[in-house]
Amino acid sequence: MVKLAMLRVLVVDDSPIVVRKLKSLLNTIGYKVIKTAENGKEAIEAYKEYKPDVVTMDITMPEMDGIEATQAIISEFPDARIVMVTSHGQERMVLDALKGGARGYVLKPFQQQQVYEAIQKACKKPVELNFC
Amino acid sequence: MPEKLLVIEVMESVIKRIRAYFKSEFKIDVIENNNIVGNMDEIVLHDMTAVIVMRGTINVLVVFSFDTSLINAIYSLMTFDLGIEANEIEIYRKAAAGDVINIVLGHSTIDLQRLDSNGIKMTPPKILNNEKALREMKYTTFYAQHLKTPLGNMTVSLVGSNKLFSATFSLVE
Repeated sequence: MVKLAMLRVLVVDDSPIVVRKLKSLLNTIGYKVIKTAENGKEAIEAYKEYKPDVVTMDITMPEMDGIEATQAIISEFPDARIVMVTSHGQERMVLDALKGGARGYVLKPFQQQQVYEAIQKACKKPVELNFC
Repeated sequence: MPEKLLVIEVMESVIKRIRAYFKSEFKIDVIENNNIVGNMDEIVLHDMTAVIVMRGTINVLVVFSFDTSLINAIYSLMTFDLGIEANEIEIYRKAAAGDVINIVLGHSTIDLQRLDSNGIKMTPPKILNNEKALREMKYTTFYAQHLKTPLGNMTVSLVGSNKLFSATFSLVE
């Protein structure tokens, strides 16, 4: 029997409801949330410490927003897989996030399938085995 | 675009997005009630209030103020499957108000993006519980739209400098 690797996820959002929903949803998919952060600064520190397989990143947060944090993480870790999960729908924000190095974009309120597909694409390999 | 029209356009987008979000996520119907233009000392705040500043060409403070019954219903619908402990309820009630304004305005930026090629920035939501007035602003004017739902009422207010509202802009019914 093949032991499946569990994707390790860092969830970044200043809303405790969104954090809890994402944790529940990602656990259901079979991923493990290893750390949560409430703003961009915390996200950078958490990334350095935990080196997650994937990050879900909000945009509007106190201290430092998600686009700045994405740029900072990508500049140090170019292979970081970051998926924006945000309420911002304007094209400019999507483009800024993708230019900053994000690999996917999910609009809130999210459905499980959207998050799953965005993470799958960010990993660029099939993740039926929960493997990035 | 004249500023008075911009204020109306922002409000129309916000109301449209509230209507769509409440219906799709919570199955709550929203009915527009009366609207009002006034000075800051006349602004209506209900029991819980969430505030975000939209920055850029649209430079306006957006205020969502909820009746207790409405925010309690939204909180319950948002968190029913999250196992919230009794000592966490107040934190999550406030978070629910913050999530509503954040999602609605985030979606409104889709409607309003053509007004600002540099992108519309938003601050994180600030939550006021049982506040009776927004104190920090002097010489400001607001345009408010009252909304009714079967679960309680809310008011959306757009607050800006007097400059944002022309002398001839009057929507008082």
